[in-house]
Amino acid sequence: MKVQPSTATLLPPQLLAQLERMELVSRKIFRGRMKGERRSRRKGQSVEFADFRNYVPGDDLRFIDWNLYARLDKLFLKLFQEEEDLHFYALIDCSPSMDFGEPSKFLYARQLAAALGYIGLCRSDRVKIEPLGLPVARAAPALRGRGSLWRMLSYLEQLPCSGTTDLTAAVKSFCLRNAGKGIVVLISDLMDKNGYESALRALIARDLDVYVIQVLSQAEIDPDLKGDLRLVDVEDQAVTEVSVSPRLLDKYRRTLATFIETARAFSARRGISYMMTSTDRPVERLISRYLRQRGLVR
Amino acid sequence: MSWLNMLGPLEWAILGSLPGLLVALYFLKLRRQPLVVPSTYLWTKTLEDLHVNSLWQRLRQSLLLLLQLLLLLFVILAVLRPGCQGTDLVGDRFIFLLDHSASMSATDVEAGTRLDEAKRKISQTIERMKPGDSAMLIAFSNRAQVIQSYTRNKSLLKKKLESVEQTERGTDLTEALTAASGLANPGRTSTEETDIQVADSLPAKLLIYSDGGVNEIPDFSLGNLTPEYFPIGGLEPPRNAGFTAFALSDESGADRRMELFAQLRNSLDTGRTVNVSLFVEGKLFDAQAEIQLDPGQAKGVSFDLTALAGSIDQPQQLKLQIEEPDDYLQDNVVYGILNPPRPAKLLVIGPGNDYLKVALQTEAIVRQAEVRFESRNFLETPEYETDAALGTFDLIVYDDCTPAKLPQCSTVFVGRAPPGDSWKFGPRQFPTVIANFDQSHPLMNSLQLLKLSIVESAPLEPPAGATVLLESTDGPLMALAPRESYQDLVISFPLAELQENGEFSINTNWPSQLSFPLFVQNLVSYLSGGARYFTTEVSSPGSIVRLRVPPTVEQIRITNPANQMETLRRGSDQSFSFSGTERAGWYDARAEGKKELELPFAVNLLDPRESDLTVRDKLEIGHEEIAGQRSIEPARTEFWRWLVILALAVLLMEWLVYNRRLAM
Repeated sequence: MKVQPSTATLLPPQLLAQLERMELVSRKIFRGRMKGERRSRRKGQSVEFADFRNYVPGDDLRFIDWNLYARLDKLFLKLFQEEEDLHFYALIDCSPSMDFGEPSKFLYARQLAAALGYIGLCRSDRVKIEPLGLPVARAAPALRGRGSLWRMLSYLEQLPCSGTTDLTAAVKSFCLRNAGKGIVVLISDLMDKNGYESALRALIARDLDVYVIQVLSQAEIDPDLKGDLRLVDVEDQAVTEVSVSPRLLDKYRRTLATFIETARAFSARRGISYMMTSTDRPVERLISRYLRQRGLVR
Repeated sequence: MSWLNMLGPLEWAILGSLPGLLVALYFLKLRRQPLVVPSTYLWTKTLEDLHVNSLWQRLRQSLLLLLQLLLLLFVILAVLRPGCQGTDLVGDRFIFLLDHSASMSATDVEAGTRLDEAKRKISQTIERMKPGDSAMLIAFSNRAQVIQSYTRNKSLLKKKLESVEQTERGTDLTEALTAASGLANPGRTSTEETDIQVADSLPAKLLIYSDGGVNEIPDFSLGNLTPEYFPIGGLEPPRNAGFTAFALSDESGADRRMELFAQLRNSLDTGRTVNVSLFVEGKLFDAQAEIQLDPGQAKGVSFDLTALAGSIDQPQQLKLQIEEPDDYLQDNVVYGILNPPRPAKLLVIGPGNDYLKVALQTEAIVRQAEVRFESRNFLETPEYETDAALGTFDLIVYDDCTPAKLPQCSTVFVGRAPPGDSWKFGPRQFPTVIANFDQSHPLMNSLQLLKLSIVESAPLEPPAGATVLLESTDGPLMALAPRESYQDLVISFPLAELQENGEFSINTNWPSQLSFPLFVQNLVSYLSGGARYFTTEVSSPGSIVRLRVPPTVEQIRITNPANQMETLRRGSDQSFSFSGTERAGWYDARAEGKKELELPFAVNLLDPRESDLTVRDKLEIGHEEIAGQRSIEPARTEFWRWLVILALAVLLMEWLVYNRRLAM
């Protein structure tokens, strides 16, 4: 597929080739609405043989194995792997705090969403990009099929990073509007002063297969600050005065580590797959190695 | 610990306001740099944790302020100059003046002699010199000797100090002060327009270690020298009685008495009794027992040597000794030489005046003098020139004639002025009326001159210091003036004048009077010394002795009291000068010539100032009075340098803290 030049920032061509060979995996069994390219645990109609079972009246005669009948004089029905489609939701945190870092966390989040979305498109899954915090009118339509890549990318390109800062409200709004089961990947820095916990609970309540990818810039992981500073929060303009000292920086790192560990523990207890990544880590590497290990893709 | 305030009230006010100003600035200064961050969520949480120990945090916050306040505190303390009494010396350049005169051999101190005590004190002071301090060492008696010029090498100084030896000389501080001030007060060259200092002055501390028995130094400016005087000597008054004068008196009268006189002085403040013995050639000759010496008083003793003098044909060594030892032994002994009598040598040069001839050939004169008569032509001969230069004669009488220059002996000029400008003759006056004569003078002894008639005479203008013996109404007629160690007698009227026809015209009736032969006899015994026993005067240690010997003598061998021999050769002025008179005692001098000649002489200090062992508690140099001090004032040990170093260390620490805050 030919990729528009402007999309190169989000998905480089070599990554596209790599992504085409992957697919999204859900740890739960969902009933897709349409037949997709996804092998379901359900037996159904496909070309891939799965098993035999005894014929019971009412079964489709087309699937009776006539060869077996000839040999054993019994009727067996051939069972095939059902291939079905999957709901894939990518929730991108659009709060101003994401527009930070080099490269910015927002760009990184969009790249990640694009990459995962492309995998879904390739496998004929229903892919929906959901910008958190933006008005509902800006939500993307559900996309399907490889041909929708362009639409997905152009949508991501023009996505602004100026949403509200309330993560919980945004997630709840998403949950109300989307009823489909499937995989949801929340891409956020989780830096919500009201907490991220209720947002994650809302997702679990929808019985979705939830992945949380916390994106942090290197400047947040290891801040390079000096002197007496007045730190201004980009979202709520809150001011914190600090006199940077090695001890303070050390304490900050420990606070960050605790924050990450808390998020990981919270997620683990609720069956959520959590992962923290730095914007310094390339997206392709994140997908091909880390997300594969976590079982989101294969 | 003591403090020295370095600042005035205004400066203190400024310095005192600095800490307050610093604190004020610190609060004003904290203008934080705004920085936009994605979220202050984690920072707030971090600070919340840190606030648990907020007091410590506050301290940490103001660590820089504390360091700056500490820095100011150190600066203020440094300005107060804290210090305490240390052991180092004040100053960086020292001149040690060490007295090694005779009196320093007194043993009234614990260390042995006063010189040992002075050396010990100097050595202690050298020990306390700071590194970089330089010092020089000058030893002085009646002359000064730079033992070691400026050096920083303490061990060298101590080594040189140990090499200073006791002398038997008197004390004269002037030369030592001149040597010391050479570097401290460099000379100036001045012309009418400019006044240029020749070299940079090097101020120094002058440390004088002496018993204070020094000469008065009225005209000396210490300039850049800071004097300190350390009296050396025992705390109790020293015990000392000693000889302060010694003389052999030859009464060359008819009875020819020979007497030895000595003066004893007791410098103790209590009375004392001493025994004095006289040794001749090492054998006890005479003694005087139980001589009572009153405190601080002098007393004379005399011994009659007439019998001895008449019987000797060799010089005799005399030794007068106080039997009781005391703190200062040098003045307990006095040495003398008694020579066998030697007739005086007289030369009379003139036109052949019979009156003089007759008067000089009386029995009394022949017994004590060899008289030689020569005509005026003799003045032109080389023989006269040599004899005059060498002092072969004891007295030369110039009768109506004048030599080209004065000879090396006493002279009598009759009717003519001596060469040179010092004596002046006025125009001849006629008649001459005798106005006055000095009957008390030995030359005029037993003379009656008022009946003297003189035809013509020229009033004299004698040089300063002369004694007028005979005066007319017009002015002095006869005067005696000293010249070096000789005396010149000038009689302004001739006895008789040689006329052109070869006859003498009488000018005075004096030769026909009884007073004339008596006068000539006085002349011979007073001016030529007559037949003397005591041919050489008593020299003091360190002085130069001139030996008069006949021109045939080429060299003289001198053996000093320590039995060391020295050979003297004739100097440029044809005389023999001996300067090795370092020790008191007998010096044996033998002239080698056609026949061996013995010229022994004795050296004695005989210095009342040295014998007075009282330790002077102050010295007077020029207009300055230097009070003696028992120990040297140590320097203040200052701590302000350490405080400044601490302040610098705090500054460094502050810089480190500041950088650590910024760098991490």
